[in-house]
Amino acid sequence: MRLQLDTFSYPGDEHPTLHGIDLAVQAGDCVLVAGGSGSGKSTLARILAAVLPGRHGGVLTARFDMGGETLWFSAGGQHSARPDDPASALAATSPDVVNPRINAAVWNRHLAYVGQDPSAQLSTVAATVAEEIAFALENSGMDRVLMKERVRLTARDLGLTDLLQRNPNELSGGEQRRMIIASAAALNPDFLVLDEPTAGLDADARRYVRTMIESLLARGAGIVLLTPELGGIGRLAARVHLLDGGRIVASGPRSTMLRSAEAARLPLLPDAVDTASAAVAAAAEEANDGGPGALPHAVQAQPVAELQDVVYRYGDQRRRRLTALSKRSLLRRPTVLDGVNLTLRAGERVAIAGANGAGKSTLLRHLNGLARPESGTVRILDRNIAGEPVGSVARDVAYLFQDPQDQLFERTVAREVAYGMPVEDSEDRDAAVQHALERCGLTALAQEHPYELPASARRLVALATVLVRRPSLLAMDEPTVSMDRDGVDRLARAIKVEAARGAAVAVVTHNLDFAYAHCSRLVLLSSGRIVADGPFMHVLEQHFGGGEAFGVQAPAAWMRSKGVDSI
Amino acid sequence: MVSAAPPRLGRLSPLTVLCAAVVIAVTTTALNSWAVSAGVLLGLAVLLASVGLGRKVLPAAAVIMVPFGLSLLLTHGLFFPEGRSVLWTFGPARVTAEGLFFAASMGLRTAVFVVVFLAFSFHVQPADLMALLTKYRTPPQLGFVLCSALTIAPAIAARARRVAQAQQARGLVTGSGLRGRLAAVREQAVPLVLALLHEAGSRADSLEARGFGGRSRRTSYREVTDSRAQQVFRTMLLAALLAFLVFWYGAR
Amino acid sequence: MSSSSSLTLPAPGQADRRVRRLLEILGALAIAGTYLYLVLAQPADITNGLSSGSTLLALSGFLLGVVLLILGILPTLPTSTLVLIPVALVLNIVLGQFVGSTLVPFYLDAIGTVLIAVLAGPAAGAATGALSSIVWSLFNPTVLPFAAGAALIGFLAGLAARYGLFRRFYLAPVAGFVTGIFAGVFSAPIAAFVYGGTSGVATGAIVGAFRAMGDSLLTAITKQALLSDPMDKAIVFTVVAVLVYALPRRSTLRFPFVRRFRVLAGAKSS
Repeated sequence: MRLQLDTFSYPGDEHPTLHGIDLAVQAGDCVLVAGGSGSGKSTLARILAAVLPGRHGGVLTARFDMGGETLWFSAGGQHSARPDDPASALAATSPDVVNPRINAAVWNRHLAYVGQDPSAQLSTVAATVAEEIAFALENSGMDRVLMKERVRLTARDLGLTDLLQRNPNELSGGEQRRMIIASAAALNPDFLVLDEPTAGLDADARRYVRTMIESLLARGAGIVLLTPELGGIGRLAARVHLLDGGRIVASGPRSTMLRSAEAARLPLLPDAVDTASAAVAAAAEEANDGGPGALPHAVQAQPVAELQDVVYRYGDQRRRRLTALSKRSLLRRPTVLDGVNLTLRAGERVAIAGANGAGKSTLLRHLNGLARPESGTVRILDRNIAGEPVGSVARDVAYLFQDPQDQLFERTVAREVAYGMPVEDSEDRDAAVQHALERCGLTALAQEHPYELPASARRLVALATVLVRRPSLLAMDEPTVSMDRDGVDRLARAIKVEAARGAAVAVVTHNLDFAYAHCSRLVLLSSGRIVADGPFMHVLEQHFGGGEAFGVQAPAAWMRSKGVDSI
Repeated sequence: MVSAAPPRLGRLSPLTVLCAAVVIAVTTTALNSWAVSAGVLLGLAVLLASVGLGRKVLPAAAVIMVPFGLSLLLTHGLFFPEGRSVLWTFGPARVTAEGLFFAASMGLRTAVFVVVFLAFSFHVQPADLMALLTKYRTPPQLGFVLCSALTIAPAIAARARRVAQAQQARGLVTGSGLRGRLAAVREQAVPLVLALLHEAGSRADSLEARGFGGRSRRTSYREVTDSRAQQVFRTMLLAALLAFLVFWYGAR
Repeated sequence: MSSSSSLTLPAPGQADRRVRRLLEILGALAIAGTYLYLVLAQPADITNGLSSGSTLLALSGFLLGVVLLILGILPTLPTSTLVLIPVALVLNIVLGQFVGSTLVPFYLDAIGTVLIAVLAGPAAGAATGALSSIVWSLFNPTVLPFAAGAALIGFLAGLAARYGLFRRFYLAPVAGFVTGIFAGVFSAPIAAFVYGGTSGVATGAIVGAFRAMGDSLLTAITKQALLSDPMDKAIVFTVVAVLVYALPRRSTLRFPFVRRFRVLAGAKSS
């Protein structure tokens, strides 16, 4: 398979989203296309999948070699042949200026595509995982007996046999992702295009997905991975293409690309194992020593939030009872938090980690009243917030959701950040908004629509809306997910500055590498109880000798400094 | 119905249930007699209760029928200018026997209609609907829309809740008064609709990439309970209905 | 050559398109014919009950028309529009209830339908309206006979968008008001002949008041519909206009209908 792409632009856009791309993949190969947020990864993935341009419109000039055939896309004669483009020659030789309409039912036998958000990819017409896996087979008109056999084999090869009779809506994010990959793989395509296959997954789920991709490679499929991660799943790739501004800026074997200047320049997430660099260690050092900005004696500082003997069970929220929960969980009412005591003090940077379902997010939600304890108390500053509406707790506690999109609704970034600020002193307000935008690197984007920004920038908008209010406590749920390196850096700086200002920062994360570098205290949760709490290094030394504890993987940089090789 | 768990009408094919529902509804409407409607309603209640569906169907029917019945009583019970036998007058209101009779016959007829089709709804599973429509070669798009609409409601409700919480967490307390409420509606509707549009876009890509909407005939992994006997029964039932209608309207 | 390639589709067949168009026309004819029959054949006197024959005929005529319309339209819609329809159906309900809990007097149960009509055109709007009633009827069977009316609302909303009534913000409620008049006049005979009244207590009271003044049942129900429907649809159209203008332009421009007919102000045509 080979795609030589001259340009692609979306309808109504003046500038092409992609240009100058030459991507060739052989059967059994794994190729990584690495790029930061907004580099054009998802667009490229959808062109490979023949979803774009399709009926979406947009102008594509490209040559596709697939399954022994050659397809030409051209922009109706409007070529901008650039001599430095590898694909420019095709403009002159393309035999046909009418874009071919691709037959998806045949195309997906050659190349299958899996997009980013698994829950948005469910067919919604399948009552079981087996039916979801069979969806593409049904569309191809396969006979039922053959179909059953194919579903069984696919599930067996990819380790999903146990899930076959489950309801797709009730699976975890990781299980859904594996199911969607299996659904794409059921037709035994020659190639699979996977857009950020491990984004937002915890260590266990990542391992499962990785194993699954290894099985696909073993079956002889060619794989194209698109992700900003050079490490993690990216380690499966032999060849790496670096994507920047819609163009492939460098290509080569993974080992050379990792250390290339381009890789360092782009906002990619480095491989924590390969580059447990001095920088990470230094940042961690600083984080643990308190650093120059942090308050010197955190223990004596004012408590900002206090949880006392907090117990929480599903079904405690009377108003949500009927709608949110299935009957089964109501009957068993599993305990999510089981007597949690936690004090967060001014200037502290606290990481909260634990396996999926350990109660991390629920704990965080208690801090602003989104969850209310069944018993026990939650104090913010010097008051008990029982009965206080979330909207008023929010004056002191800023909460960043995992999906920042839910929090945004204004037409421009600037209006979004200024929303709800006191109107009386407009000069002060404008200055505060400008400052927050600057800290998040959004000054140039102030007049953009928040939803039109790439994922990483969108998270930064949400961060800016929080920073502008100068809260006493910042609670963040998985803030690094779907951020590129630039975003992560800005987030890290914000955490540092806010803590230095005297705010407490609580970060729920599975990304212990990030937490290791930027947090001073580590809280480990397991089955709703706090099983470890203390200075970061101290907790690492105590519990992570084996590299993993309570379903959490130790930071790679720390492991390396200990001389232990993780994974 | 969305999470259609047992009890259901045994191993009857949804098609058989639908056929029976149509036949019952059409026949009672054609006969148009309050006594027949009441009798059928009673029979249905007993039947549904005996198979364990009564507790689901009857309250759902009541929720629809109570305001409907009140509306009919209000309209025809109090004001029925065509009525002759006046039972009671109060200002402009004239309670007439004809009006009450009209309200009762309309209400009972509608009640039968509501109960039989609700019984069908509680019996059929969304995925079965898709499988059935595939089997009878309707455009796959139709099956998709019907089935999908029935299954995505919980996900959309969950999304709406998340948006509301996210907005609260930003300190946007729902204001008091009409203005504040309208502002809150806008603040929450925009992210909700956007998220749904965005999600629909991803879903469309995923469906297309898996060959949905292609030219080839679709098959179905799922099998829907059915039998030869039920097919014969359905054919006979529909033939009988046709014969009845011809007789009923032809004889007049 | 790409035309002989197995990876690509041949140009869409003329015969296929003709069949779909025929289905649409037959569907529209069935609905219009049934409506005319109902209005012309309305019984002069309802004391003996409405003729059960016209009730059955109305039900089957509208249902047949709606099904033909759906079968004709759905396969022509791109997948990106198709996946929005279930969302719109749920929106009709979710947003309707959401707003309904804050502002009591209106139903606002066509927001999803109008949204689709504005983004994807009259055909998609009509299909969405019809399907909305069909899906809703699984929970509340009494709305099934109004499917044709809901299709009409979607169709008219699409026409309004097509001819630029959503380009000026103040025109949207006007278009909604007019749509409401059509919708009210259209659905009144259905309410009268199938149910002999309305399904809500408040609307029932209004019908009763007109009856007290000596109106015939159909006139009374039509008057009641003309009191509530135009206002309701004006609000729905306004809400949809607020929504589509709050959406990022790239999201709305993804829809060919929006691009082609320059449905929204400021949006470039292509």
